[in-house]
Amino acid sequence: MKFKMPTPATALVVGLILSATAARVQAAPEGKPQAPVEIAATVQVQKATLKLTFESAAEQVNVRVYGVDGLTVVGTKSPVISGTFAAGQVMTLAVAYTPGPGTSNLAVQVDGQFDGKRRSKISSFTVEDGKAAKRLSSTISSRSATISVDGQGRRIAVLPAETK
Amino acid sequence: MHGWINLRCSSHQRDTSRGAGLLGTGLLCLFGALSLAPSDANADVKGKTLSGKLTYDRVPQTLDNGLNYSATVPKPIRNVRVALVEDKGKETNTGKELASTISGEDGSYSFAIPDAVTRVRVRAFAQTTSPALLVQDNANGNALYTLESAAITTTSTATVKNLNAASGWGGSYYSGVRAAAPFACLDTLYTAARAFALVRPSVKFPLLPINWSVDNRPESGDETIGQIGTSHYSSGSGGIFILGKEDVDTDEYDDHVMVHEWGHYFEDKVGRSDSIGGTHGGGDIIDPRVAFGEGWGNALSAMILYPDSKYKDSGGLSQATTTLVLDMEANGVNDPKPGWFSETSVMTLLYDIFDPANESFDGVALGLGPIYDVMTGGQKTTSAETTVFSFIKALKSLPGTSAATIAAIDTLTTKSHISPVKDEFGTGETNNGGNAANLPVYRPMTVDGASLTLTFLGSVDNINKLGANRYISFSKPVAGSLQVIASSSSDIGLTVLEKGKEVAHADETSSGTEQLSFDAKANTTYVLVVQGFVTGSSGQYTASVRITSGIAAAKLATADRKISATQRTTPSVPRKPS
Repeated sequence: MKFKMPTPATALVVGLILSATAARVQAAPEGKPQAPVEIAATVQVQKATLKLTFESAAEQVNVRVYGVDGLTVVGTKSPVISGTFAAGQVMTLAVAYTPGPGTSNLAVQVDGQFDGKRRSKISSFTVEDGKAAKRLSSTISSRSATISVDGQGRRIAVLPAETK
Repeated sequence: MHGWINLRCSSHQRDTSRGAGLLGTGLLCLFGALSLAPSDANADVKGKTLSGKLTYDRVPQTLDNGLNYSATVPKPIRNVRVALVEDKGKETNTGKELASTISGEDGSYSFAIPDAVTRVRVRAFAQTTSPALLVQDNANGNALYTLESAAITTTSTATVKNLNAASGWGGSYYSGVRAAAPFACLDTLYTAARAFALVRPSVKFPLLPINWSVDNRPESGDETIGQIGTSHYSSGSGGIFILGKEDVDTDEYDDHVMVHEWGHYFEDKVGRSDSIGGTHGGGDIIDPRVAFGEGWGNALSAMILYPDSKYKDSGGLSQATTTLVLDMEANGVNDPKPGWFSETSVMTLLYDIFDPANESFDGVALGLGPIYDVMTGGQKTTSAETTVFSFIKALKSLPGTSAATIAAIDTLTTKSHISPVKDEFGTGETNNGGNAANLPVYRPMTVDGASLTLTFLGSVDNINKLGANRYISFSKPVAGSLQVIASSSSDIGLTVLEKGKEVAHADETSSGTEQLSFDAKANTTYVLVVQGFVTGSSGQYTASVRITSGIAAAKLATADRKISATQRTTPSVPRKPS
C-alpha cells in the first residue's frame, strides 16, 4: 500500500483518519474532465465523514475543506498536505463544522498530480441546521432573479439590467 | 393599415430570422400587430423609437488564478428574442408585449413605440432560435432567464437605452444578481453551433436547454434543487447542466467546459457516441470509446475557441483557482501512455487535424467542415464502435481526400502512437498499451466456428478501462437466430451491438456464465463487447466465448436468466454517458 501522509498530525487536528483501504470503483456518469477521485460524504448537522476514493495514483495531493453559505469548518481546513495515494485507495476523514443558518454547504477540494498531470476536483455537500429555512433573507433576495410570467405565459426568471 | 404593414414585417422576420440573425441585423417587427386586436390597431405609430445595444459582462479566465474579474469586458447579447413590454406600474410583470425582435450580432435592438405608450420595459430572453438554445433555471421550475430594463419613459422621438447584464461581482464576492451568467452560457454555445453552421449551412441542431443556476453545485442528488453532480450533458433530458455555485465551482465563464459538454450533445443529437462513460483521466489506458468521446469534447472546445488552444477550468473560493489546463498543442506531453486508448492522444490528434499545419509532424489543416462530415457520416454509420479508428477511417475515406492528405493523417496518428489506420476495426494496430492481451482491437469470430478465449486485466481500477473490455466482430451470411455463450471464472457481461445500438445484452449472474440470443440479419456486422468486472486485483483472467446458430439453447438461456436474475449483483455499464 502506497498511502503516505506527511502530515498526520495535521490530519488528526481536523478529525480522524478512519481508514485507508483499497476498494472497488464503479463506473459512473461522466461530466467535465477533472481529477479521478470520488468524493463522498455522510453529512450530519455538525460533522461529516468524507470518503475519498482515488481512482488513479496521485501524488502531492492537497485536500481542503471549507464552508460556504455561512458554514464554518472547525479546525484546520487542510487535512491532507502533499499526500500520496495508490489507485483504488480510499481515505476517510471526519470534519467538524458549525452549520450556517438553514441550508449551507461543505466544500471539499482535492488537488494533486494524477498520472503526472495536475488535476483538481471540487465537491460540495448540503448541510441543514435542522431549523426552519432562512435562505430567503433580504440579502439573498437582492441577489436573486425575480420569478414572473412573460407575455407568452412562460415562467421567466427576471434579471435586472444595468442601463448604460 | 399599420396592422398590415406590421404583419408583413413579422412574417418577413420569421422567414429570415435565421439568416438575418447570422447577418447581424436586428430587424423590427411588431408582434402586437399579429393579433390584429382593435386596441393594437389603434396604436398609432408616429415615429417614436427605442433602440440600443444589449451586452453582458464576460469574465475572462487565466492560466493560473481562475477568473479575472478586473478584466471583465462587455460582449454583445446576440440573436436573442427581445420584447417591448408596456409598463403599467404594478402590472409590469405581466405587461403586454407590444413588439418583439431579434437582437443583432452586435447586440443591437430597435423598436417603434406606439404613440400612446409612454412607459415601457425591454426584455431580452436568454433564448435563440437559430440555433435553438435557451438558458433556464433548473432550480426554479425551469424559468427562462430574462434580462429586463427598468421602466423607460418614451416621450421623445428617439430614445436610446443600452442595457447590460452585469456579472454581479462586488469586488470580493457576488454582491448583486448574476445577470451575465445565463447570457455567457448562451453566447458560448451559440458560438459553437454557429461555427458549424458557417461551414455546413444546412446543419440543423435540435433545441438545447442549458440548465444553469446559482444553486447548481457538484453534489449528486436532485437536479431540481441544483444538485447536478458536475457540469454535464444529459442524454436523458437532452440538456446541458452547468455549475453555478459561488466559491465552490462555477462554469458559466469556463467556455472550454461549456463547449466540451456541447460536444457530447453534438454526438448524441447529430452524430453518434458509443462511449460507456465512467471516470477517466489523462494517462488512463481506457476503453477506446471513452477515449474518443472525451478527446473529442476537449479538442472540439479548442476548435470552436480557436486560437485559444488551452482548455481551462476555474473554481474554488472566489473562483480564483484554475483547476485544470489541457494544452491541445502539447503532443506527447502529459500523455504518458499514448495511443488509441488515450483520451489525450485523441484530443491532440483531432485538434491537429483541425488546426493549421503548424508543427513538423502536422501537415493536416482540414478545419471544421470535414470533421462535421465525418462525425455525421462515417462515424455515425460505422459497423464498429465509435473510436479513433472509425473516425480516422471515415476521414481518410471522404471524397476528394488526396493521397498526400492521407499520408499526412498517417503521420499524425503515428505521432500519437497509433498505427496507420486501415479500417474502422483497428486492424493491424501494433500498440498494445503494455499488454499483449489488448490486441487485436477487435477479434473476428465465425458463427458456428471455434470458441475464442479472451484475456482480461484484473488490475484495472475501473470497468471502463481497456483491460476490462474486449471486442469481437462477426456476421452471418443468412438471417437467423444466434446465441452467444460465454464462461469465465469471474463476473462478465455481454452486449451485442449493431452500428452502436444494443440488440442483445446479458449480465444476469455474477458466476461468470452468461448467454444471450437474438435474431441476426443477413450479412450484417455485429460487435460483441465482453465486459469484465474485476477491478483492483492482480493478474489476469479469461473468458471463453462461442457464437452458434440456433434457438433451442436460446430459449433455455432465457429461462435460466429469469432464475438467475435474482442473484444479480453487478450493475451493467450504462450504454450512454451523460
